[in-house]
Amino acid sequence: MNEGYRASFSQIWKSMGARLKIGLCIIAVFLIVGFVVYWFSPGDVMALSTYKRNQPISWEHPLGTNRQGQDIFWLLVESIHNSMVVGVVVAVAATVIGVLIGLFSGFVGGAVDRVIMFICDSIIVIPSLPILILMGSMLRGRASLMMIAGILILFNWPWPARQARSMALTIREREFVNTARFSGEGLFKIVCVEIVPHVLSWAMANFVNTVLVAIGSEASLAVLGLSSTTTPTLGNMIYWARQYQAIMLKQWVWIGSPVLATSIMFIGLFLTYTGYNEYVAKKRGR
Amino acid sequence: MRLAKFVLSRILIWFLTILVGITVVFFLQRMMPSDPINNMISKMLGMGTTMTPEEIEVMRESLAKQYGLTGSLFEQYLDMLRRLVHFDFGLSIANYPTPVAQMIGQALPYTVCLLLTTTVLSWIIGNAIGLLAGFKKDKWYSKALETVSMCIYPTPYFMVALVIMILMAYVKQWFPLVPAFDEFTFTWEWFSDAIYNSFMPALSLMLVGTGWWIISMKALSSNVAEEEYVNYGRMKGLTEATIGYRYVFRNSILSQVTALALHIGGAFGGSLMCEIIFGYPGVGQMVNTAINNSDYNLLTGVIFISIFAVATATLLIDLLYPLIDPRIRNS
Amino acid sequence: MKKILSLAIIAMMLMAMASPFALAEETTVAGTPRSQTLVVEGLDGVISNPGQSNAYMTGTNFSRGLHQLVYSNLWEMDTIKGEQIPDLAAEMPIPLNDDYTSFSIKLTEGIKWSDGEDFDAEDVVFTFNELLRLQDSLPSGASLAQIVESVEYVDKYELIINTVDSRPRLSEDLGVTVWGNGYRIIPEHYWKDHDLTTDMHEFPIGTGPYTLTDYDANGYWFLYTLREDAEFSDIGVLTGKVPKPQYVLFTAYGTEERKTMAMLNNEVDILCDISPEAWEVLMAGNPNVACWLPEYPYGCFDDPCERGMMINCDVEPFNQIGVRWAMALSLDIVQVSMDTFSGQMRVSPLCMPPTTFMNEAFHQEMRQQLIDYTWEDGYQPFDKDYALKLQETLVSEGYDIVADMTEEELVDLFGIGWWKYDTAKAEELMIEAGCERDAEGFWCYNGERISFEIICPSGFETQSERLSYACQSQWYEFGFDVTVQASEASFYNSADDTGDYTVGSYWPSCGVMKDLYSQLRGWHTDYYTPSGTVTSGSPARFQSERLDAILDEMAPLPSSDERTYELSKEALMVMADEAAWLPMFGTSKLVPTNSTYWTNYPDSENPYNGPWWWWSCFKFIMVEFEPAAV
Repeated sequence: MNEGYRASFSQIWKSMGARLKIGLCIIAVFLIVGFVVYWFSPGDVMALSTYKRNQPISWEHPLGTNRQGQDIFWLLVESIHNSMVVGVVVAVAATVIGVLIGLFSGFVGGAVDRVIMFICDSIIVIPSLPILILMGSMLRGRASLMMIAGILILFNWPWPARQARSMALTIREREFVNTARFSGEGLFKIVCVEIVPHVLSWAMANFVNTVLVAIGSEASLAVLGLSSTTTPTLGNMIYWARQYQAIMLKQWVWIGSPVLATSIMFIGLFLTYTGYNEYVAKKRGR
Repeated sequence: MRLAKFVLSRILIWFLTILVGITVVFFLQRMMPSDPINNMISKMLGMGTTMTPEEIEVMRESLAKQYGLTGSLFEQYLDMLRRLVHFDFGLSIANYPTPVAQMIGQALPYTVCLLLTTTVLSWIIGNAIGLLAGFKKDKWYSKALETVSMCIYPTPYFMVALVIMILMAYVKQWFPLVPAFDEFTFTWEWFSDAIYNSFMPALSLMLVGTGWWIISMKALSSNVAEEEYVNYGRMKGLTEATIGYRYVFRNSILSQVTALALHIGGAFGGSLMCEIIFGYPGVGQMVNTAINNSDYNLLTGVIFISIFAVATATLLIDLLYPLIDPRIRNS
Repeated sequence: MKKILSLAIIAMMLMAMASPFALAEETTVAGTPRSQTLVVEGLDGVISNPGQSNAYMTGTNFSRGLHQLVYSNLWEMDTIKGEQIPDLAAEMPIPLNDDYTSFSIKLTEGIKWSDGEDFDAEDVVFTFNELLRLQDSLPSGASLAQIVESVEYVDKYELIINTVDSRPRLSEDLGVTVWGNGYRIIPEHYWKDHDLTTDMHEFPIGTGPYTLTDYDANGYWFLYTLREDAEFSDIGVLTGKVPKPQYVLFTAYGTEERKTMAMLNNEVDILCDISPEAWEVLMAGNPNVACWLPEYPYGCFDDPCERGMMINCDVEPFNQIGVRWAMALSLDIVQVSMDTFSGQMRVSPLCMPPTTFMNEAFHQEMRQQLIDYTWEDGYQPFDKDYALKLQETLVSEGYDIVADMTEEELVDLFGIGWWKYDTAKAEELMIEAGCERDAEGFWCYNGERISFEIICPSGFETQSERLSYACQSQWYEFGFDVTVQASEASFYNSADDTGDYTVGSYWPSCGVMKDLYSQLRGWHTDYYTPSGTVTSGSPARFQSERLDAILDEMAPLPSSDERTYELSKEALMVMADEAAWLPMFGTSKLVPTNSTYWTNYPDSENPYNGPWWWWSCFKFIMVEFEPAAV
């Protein structure tokens, strides 16, 4: 696919393609680490004093061990896995729910539309972090990672819903939908067959963005110690490293690896998101 | 007529939004697994007093009366709504009997000033840089700027904050570790002092904020710069500056204004992390303590104020938007 | 654009440099000269209601200097000797009858309030009467009404207190034992015209050597200034000395990183409690920073509360003593110690903390008894070699400092020993109790997997938090399906009050004296309430007829009776035998001091008092501080 469009675009597109390509490469690396390397993990990575503490980097411990006697490399791998799972679950659920509700709302219109959009607007306006923190401390401990994901979904569906609705509004007026409608097809079928493909390219971009937002929010909560502290995620790794003063003790690998991983993953997702948007825009423009 | 309807509907939504938000918060809090009375009693027991179950019952009643936690849940809810209309949030539970409004009044100006300054500044700086980078996107400095912002923006915020704090307050003792603000006076000393004390939090918020505006503005303006009419303008012999301002800037700034409105809510949340890390005396810090002490009244007050502020800001921008965008005004 | 931005930043910095704070480096945030100011970290961080200093209004915070420097109680605590000492009262209460319901209290003469008025019996009588009068609106009044029936004025320096019931330990009810005591004496001449329930009393009148003179409106710092007539404060009259620092500043730092940086930069003289990691940073970064012990393990073991795992005895199968013992025997306590605080703790199998005083009075005294302690089946669960095993582990990690210590020194330092790490015996006990392992190796009871959470404090009391992760790791290995639930203060506290937990990392028994009745009476069945109802004193929901009998025998005896000591030891043995809870370590507090500006802090070589900066006895400690020779 890359080859095809690369050849047909000018120099500028090429550079933009590179952005998408770099993004996809980064994500691919993280996917491999989080879902392939992950399967080789040597058991419970959170168990304390599994290894000798504060070991330097070696073949046995590619990133050394930390003050809790955990292997930093495997901890990182499992953290990446869990963070990505949260991100993907939230993004899939929020995008699907949001797009479906948005399309439905935009297409049906009238009072239903107004009520749905009102709910969306309310949730968008409410500052989410204080409430996330409130809910986080309410559910903490009892909260598994999936419950945190649930809370994040609650706050992330209205945005795609709003976008999908406005898209539905413009699409609704277009010829093919009217044609379909006049030819007597059902609402659901129209939405699925005619509209979803149109929305899909946009929804992909939103998906990537939501992955980013979800991982970021979970990390913020975790850094404050409000996520599930016994499940390793990127945010939790940072939380524990800070609990043990890794910065002041200059244990850079311990605190640095999750920070760097988060940053690179975010850059990758972000490049993919913007690169993909540009790619789609250009494809349409042509 | 149409305008009146538009304004009215927006105000209705504004009102309902606040009501929904505050209702959710009220019932969420009451679901919390701890209650402030138990909390206060534990605090007293922690000081070495031992009480029999009967003694505790006496204490509970006395505290419930003090805290206004008597009556059914619904009565408490109605009572809260009635008081909120007058911005009366009752008395703080953990710091009884300081009125919540007073505590918020103390902290709110700090948060508002910090947020407003950093949000607006980073919006202006970010958009200016982004515009330049998008308009001149083939120049080396545009690419450098974009790469830098691409790297800073996704970095977890608290890391940026910690690095700034360690570099500027510890390695180089440029700024104080504990922000200290004197009683407000309208003097140059006070302002320079306030800037000095809030420099580190502001810088960290701006670094992250600016990155986003650069990236988004660059994307927008580079798209606009590709449009036919820009080329047409060039052919007409307009200077680059005129094209940059008249076509690229005016066409891409609009969506940035809407984005700003939506950004405010997020920025408020972001200030929470900032205030905890830097020990900045704002509302975010207060949310943290309120949760620790299960101080219902304080929490309701803070979240009400934040929902109110964010909803109002959004409303204002929504109402002002037609003035900026001629297309909407005319339609 | 970039240029302009960087120019702007530089300009702002320059402007900031020119500001008064940056220029005058030798002043504190409160504007006082640094060399005349003692800077102490406040225990509770930022105070949201800094203007409230009323001693009896509900939300007043005292650990920010108020009870350390301004307010005083009738009796104080000597933490080194483990006994109460007079403060505003000149001597211990003198019982006037045999059933301990009426006492004569003699007051210290010559003390003046900070506004110059004499302190006398009228103030004390007024304090108690006012509290009794306001018992409906002041929680402290309600609790005082459970103790005191009436107060009578005798003469200027004597009064009589009549109690509701028999109170052989009145001085412990109304005076300080641990941290502080709620019944602070307030001046009659001020409060007779002011409302104790509403007046904030912003700048309080006290009998202590300092007065609050300024504070930050945001609650970040509080400035106390030495009284001009400090020789007439309680400290002045009792010790004959006047504190040297002209100012004492209590400040908040928030995160541990910031505290650590502040001490590295000599911005603060005394910190309350930090993690071993932060201590490592301080030790490496600033030669003027010291801790209680000059060498490893540095920390002070004298905090009067014992840490460990409290088990809710209402929850099946933990209501069985055997299961609780299995939990003890399945812990490798050496590893727990390493995982928690790198071994920097003193172990204790008894429910009392192994402080210098208590360790001698109880632990060393009872060590032989523990070694001989045998179950009906002949099994001896005690392992006296804990200290040796810890030494071995530490040496392997490079802590050479402990390599040359003798066994006796090690036992003194690390504790008398703990229960054996014997998973085979634990397995046996579990099976005896009716538990079995499922296919995955997890323990089941009545066909259901035993899943539970250890609740622990989050963000405060690092030691307890880490202890729970250390235990979780090992219990999980033994086959308990266990996780950790770290909670904010409020959730954590109400879980233990209401019994809404299975296992918690708590410090349910504290003690500073040979007579343990006040500390242990909460474990009496009288205080038992089932899980789901609020309790006080009996959060473990433990019930034991043997313990009740001992406590009943102790109740009528005054502390001075030697018999209470024997009975206390018996009570401890019963609690160990029935595994009332699983005590593990004494509290290990790293309480660093910085000698750049002030010296002569108490430490292990000069232990004139404990390092309890957040206790009300701080005024007795800080009177000894000397300015550093410049």
